[in-house]
Amino acid sequence: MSFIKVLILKFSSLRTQTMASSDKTINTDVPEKDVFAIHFLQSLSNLTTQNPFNSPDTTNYRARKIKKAAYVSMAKAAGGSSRLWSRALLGRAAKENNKIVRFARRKRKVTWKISSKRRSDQRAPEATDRLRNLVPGGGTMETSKLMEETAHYIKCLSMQVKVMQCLVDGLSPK
Amino acid sequence: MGGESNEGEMGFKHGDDESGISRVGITPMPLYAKADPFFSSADWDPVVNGAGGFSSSHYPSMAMDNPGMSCFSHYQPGSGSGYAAEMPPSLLPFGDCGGGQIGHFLGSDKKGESVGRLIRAGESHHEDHHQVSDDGVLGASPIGKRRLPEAESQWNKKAVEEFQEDPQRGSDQSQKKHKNDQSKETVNKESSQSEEAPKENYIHMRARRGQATNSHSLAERVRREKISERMRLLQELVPGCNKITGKAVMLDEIINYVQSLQQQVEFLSMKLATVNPEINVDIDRILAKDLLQSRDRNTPTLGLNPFTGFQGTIPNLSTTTNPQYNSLPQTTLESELQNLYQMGFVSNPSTMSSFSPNGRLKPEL
Repeated sequence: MSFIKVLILKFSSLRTQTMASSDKTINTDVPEKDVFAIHFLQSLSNLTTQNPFNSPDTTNYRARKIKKAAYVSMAKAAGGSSRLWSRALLGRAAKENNKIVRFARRKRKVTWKISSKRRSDQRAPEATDRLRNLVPGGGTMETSKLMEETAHYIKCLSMQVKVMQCLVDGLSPK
Repeated sequence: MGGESNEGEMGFKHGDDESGISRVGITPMPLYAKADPFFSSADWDPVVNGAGGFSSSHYPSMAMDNPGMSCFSHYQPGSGSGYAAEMPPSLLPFGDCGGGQIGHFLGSDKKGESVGRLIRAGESHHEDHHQVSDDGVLGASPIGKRRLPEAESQWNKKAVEEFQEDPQRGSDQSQKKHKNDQSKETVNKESSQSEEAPKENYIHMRARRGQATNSHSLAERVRREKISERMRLLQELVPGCNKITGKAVMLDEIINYVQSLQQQVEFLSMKLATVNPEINVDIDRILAKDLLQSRDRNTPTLGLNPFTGFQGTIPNLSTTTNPQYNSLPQTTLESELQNLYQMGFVSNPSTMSSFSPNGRLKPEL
């Protein structure tokens, strides 16, 4: 029921807020592992409820679905729409499912966007451009904002990897 | 005392701002080690220092009251608030090195007048966001204010000013300090201190002496410092990147790390997919077991005692899933558990006890 999800998400967002910030000016905290775990497990159970138990799906197809579920659950666990990359991820996933996701419009600070486009020539794919391609939603961010998002993204990714590793270890046959 | 060699190195460092990061970052350290016996290199951050750069050409141009003070001319502007604790002890060596000329710089300053004039002159062409009229306040803030002293007397006055001014300042100067540290080459702490007083939403930057006071270059500098600050953050995240100084190499490392993490996710999801046939049952079991475990550790307020006997019946997962989710803190799951139980579990205990492949958690999860 959506009621449950709302409560759970509220709870997880609460947890992120109450965590102490390690950095003075930039806050890149991620929730604990269990938040990621719960989201991931929920998405997995949703996945398995959708498909019949003994459906002849290929491993690749299942793997792709699981990967998508992992990213979506990670984006949700990491704080829904409070991060640019998570919003971009969720938007991308929703677009794939032909759903429309709307996020509350956040107030945007007016910053100097001294982007790299002021150079006339098309520079070779620079490191920052490569990073933009990697981090979801990084196409139109300022470089400093990109760095911040990358830091948060790295933390969430490593957390998700840990959760998945635990799951695999737990589920692998002895 | 090694002024020539220092000059040469300074000229070497006066390169492009961006590309000079690594050079600037690496070379100043040994300079200091030689010049300042008391300089503790504990938290010198080479990466950030180079972001602003500095103009070495001004060192010889400034009048040096004491030629012996040339050792201070290479005192690099520190950046970041990490140098806070170092200021008081590090100011003393200047007195020693200078042969006593600034031995009493903390007290009344004979050279105050001339220094004041110099400073006024130096400040005249700066943008005045702040009141320059902090004349009377001779204080020296030890916290994170390192300036390239072009003259020892200037350094003295500035240091004195900062000491007195420091207790007046708020504690959250970190960001402004960070900007201000690199904003000026001259020992212009007074103005930088007063700059921090009107704390605004965005940082006021001052033009460095001898550099363009163009608003564009100022903005560029602010932006560059922001980026380098975040690079430092990232450096701590990525394992094994403590020794790397330099934006390009660091960026490559970050990209590799992100790519490897994404590949790990893909690999693990493939692994999960191969394990899949048991995944339906197991996930439910894990969830239930996880929740049951958590519940058991809490007070059984949910009235789910009939489930406790169920744990023994779960076959191979009892040992495997326990260690992973034992670490879950109880308080975090409590309310979630309650919600889940109210919706999914309590209503149909019969399905839970069966745990057949079809007996999965209700879809409302």
